[in-house]
Amino acid sequence: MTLDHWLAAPLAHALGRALAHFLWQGALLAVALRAALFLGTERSSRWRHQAAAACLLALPLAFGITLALLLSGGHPIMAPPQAAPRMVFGPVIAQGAPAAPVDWLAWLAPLWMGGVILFYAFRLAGWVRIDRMRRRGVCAAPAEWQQRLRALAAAVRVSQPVELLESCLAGVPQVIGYWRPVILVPLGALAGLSAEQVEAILIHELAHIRRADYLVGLAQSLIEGLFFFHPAVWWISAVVRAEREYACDDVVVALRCDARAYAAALTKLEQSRWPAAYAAAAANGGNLVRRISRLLGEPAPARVPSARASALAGALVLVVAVATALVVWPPARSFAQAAPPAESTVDKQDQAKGSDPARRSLEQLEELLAAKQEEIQEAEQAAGKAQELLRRNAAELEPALQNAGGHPDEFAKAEEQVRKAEAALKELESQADESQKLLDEQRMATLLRQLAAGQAGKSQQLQELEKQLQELSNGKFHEALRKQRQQIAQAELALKQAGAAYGDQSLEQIQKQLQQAEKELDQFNQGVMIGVARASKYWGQGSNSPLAQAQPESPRPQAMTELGAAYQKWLNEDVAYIITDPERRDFLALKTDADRDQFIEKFWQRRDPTPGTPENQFKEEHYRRIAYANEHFASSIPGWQTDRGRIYITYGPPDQLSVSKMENVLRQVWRYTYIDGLGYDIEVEFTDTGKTDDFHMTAAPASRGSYWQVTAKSPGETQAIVQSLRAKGFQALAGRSGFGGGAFRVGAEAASTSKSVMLETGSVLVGPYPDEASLAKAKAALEAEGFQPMRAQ
Amino acid sequence: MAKSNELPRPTDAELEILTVLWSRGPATVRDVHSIISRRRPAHYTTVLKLMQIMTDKGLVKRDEKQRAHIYSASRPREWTQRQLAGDLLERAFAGSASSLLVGALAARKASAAELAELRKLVGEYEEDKR
Repeated sequence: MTLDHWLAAPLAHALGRALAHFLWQGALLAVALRAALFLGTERSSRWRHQAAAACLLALPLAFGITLALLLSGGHPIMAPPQAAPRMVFGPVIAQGAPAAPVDWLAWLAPLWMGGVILFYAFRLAGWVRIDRMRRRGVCAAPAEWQQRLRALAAAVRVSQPVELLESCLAGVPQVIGYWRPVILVPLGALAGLSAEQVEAILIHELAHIRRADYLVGLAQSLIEGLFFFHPAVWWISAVVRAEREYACDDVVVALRCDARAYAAALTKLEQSRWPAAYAAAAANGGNLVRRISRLLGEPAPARVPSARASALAGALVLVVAVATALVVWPPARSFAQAAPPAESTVDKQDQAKGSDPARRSLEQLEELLAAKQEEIQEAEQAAGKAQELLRRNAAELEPALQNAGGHPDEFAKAEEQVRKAEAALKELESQADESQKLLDEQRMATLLRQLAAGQAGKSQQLQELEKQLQELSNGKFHEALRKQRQQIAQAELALKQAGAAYGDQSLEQIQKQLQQAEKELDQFNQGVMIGVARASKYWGQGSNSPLAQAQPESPRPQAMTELGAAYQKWLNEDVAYIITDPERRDFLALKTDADRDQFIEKFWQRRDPTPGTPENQFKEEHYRRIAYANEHFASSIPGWQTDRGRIYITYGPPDQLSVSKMENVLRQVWRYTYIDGLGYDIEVEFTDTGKTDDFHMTAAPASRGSYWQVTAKSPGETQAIVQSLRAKGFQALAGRSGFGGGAFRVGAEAASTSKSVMLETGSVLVGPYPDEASLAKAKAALEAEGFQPMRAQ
Repeated sequence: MAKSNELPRPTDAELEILTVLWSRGPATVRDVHSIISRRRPAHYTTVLKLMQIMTDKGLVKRDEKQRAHIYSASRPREWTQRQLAGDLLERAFAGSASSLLVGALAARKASAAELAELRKLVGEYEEDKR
């Protein structure tokens, strides 16, 4: 984005005007503050400080509101044209905002921004430097003073812990930070002053902490930087600083009563401060004389800076005058311009640009459309050229063939002509490629047209465009192709006749070549057709394109392999989990939709538990499960795709569900009594770690075995049970045999048949079982020993 | 740096030790360490090593007459302060920093005339006291 663009943006105009408005707003606020201070001469410094701070805060507020009003509509409160511009205190913009943008005002914005950035950069560097003084060249003050400070902090009601440090870099006592404040005193100050005087100084600093002056100072700095160009802002800021010191002095006097000792301490400090490192720019000090006169109750000395004050007042008046002129002048001009509205087209355009981005984008769209139209015209020309080439070739070919009938010598010539025709065909093919490209571009144009379709007045143009497209791709190409075909047929006929006359071998060759040419023509033809079909598909998406209607029988071959969306959904979503691999292969091999419909019907019939009835419980249950999964398990992905959804759809609702939570990990165990193909007592485990919003399967469906329980009355009885179970084929689990940890495994039926027994607790883990028969056998054996199945493990 | 009588500018850690010496006067390593460790954790050996280096540099002087060596700063603090204030960056941002300064005295040093006036005002007070 260039500067010019930026200057044309509404924000730049608004900023520039807001800055101009700020000139008088700032001056006005300064005058208001001066008046308030004059009226409040007798008031406390605290009150005066607050007034000045409020005034300072009103500055960015006034600026922000002005900017917002200018941005939102530009005419916040339109003053009647004949009314004289009123000065209104506060953030109200009463003057009719200039309707005609004043260009140089927009330039204020970048200049101002540059200044603010520069200012802030310097302030940031200064802040870093000050903050570094907390750590650099400091040492802890003697413990006695630290203790004394704590007592004083309680007196001043400072609640945060304050650190007292001696600094070799600080020239004057100062406070750094607010939340963890540090009071820095210059080296030697503690020793050089009397204890009473040090206390007075410390109270002053504590008062600063209590009043959060460090934070106020930072905010002040930000505001100063924002309005660095306005002398009134600097004046207000200086008032805040001065009143802040007076207020802290008042706290010292209120607590210590001895103003004179305090004044002497300040003077001594000032005298002993080391050669100033920062004598430079700061002009905010220099009021120590007034502070001390104030402390001592002396009349303020003849104010040296009175000349400066009057200069400041003069500057203020000047600024107000200039700002007023700026603000009043543009409306006057715009009224004069507004009289003949027809002439203010520049304004209108400007407004359209600024206020109506939609219209602007429409204009861009129109431009694009015009460019596309041009390209289409070019394509048309290319098509015309191709047509002419064909015609010329045919014209050359025909007499040659006729001649070939007369003289065998001429045959070679005819051959040549056929070769030429082939070359021409190739050229045509390449042109067809080009046309295809153009068709692609036309597609884009069509999309653009769809975008702009809503715009009234453009439809006619678009219809024309469409017609042209139709003519181009449908009419002219077809015509050309038809003609070419005709001509080639004629040439063939002529050759046949010639062959009948001479029976020449080369005739067959020519015929072959002709066939080849014809084939290539067919291919080309098909390419064009596909292109046209694609184009018509795109047009068909838009409005009722005449082209789409003209091509109802798409020349594209019937979709032999592609699946319709409905069938894809059926295969990949509806029955994704239950369709077998052979079924999937068969389905994908099907060619027509009728076959597919039949397949689906049979698919469900095969699974119908009650064939012959109109209801198919399996199918109903299946779709119910999908609906349930989508309703209950949906997360970032649809419910049927989640792990739980998959298990639910495949195996149905679990027979038992146990839910647990441990260390924010949710765990669900689904238990199925029996699953065909998997066996008995199948468990699936899902956990939700909280990292995703979904349960993930952490243990695939597998038999965990089931617990059986018996209450053994004595160790002896347990032993008897163990022996009995052993006799029946149960085996002890490796490493856990005996009564101590009596877990047992049984291998009765086959090596894979394992059962285990927990005897000490009187419970038995049975499973997993490969088949129902072995389960029944194990169960019978356990029941004979008095075991009971344990549920909900 | 070319002049032989010019001392190297102290590092931050060295400046801290110098500050302690200026504040409390000549002290042993143990004294310095105890004051420094009130503000931040520091090893005795680190302080000792630093002070030995400073002795080599000439920043501090070591009095070896007693069993515990007593160190003192070789230059008055004003000298080092002036040296540090001469830093270009310090000067560049001093003005900016001073407007952020919150404290009993203004960032700007009082002029000679102002000081005279101050002395007069306070002098009256001193006389009253007598």
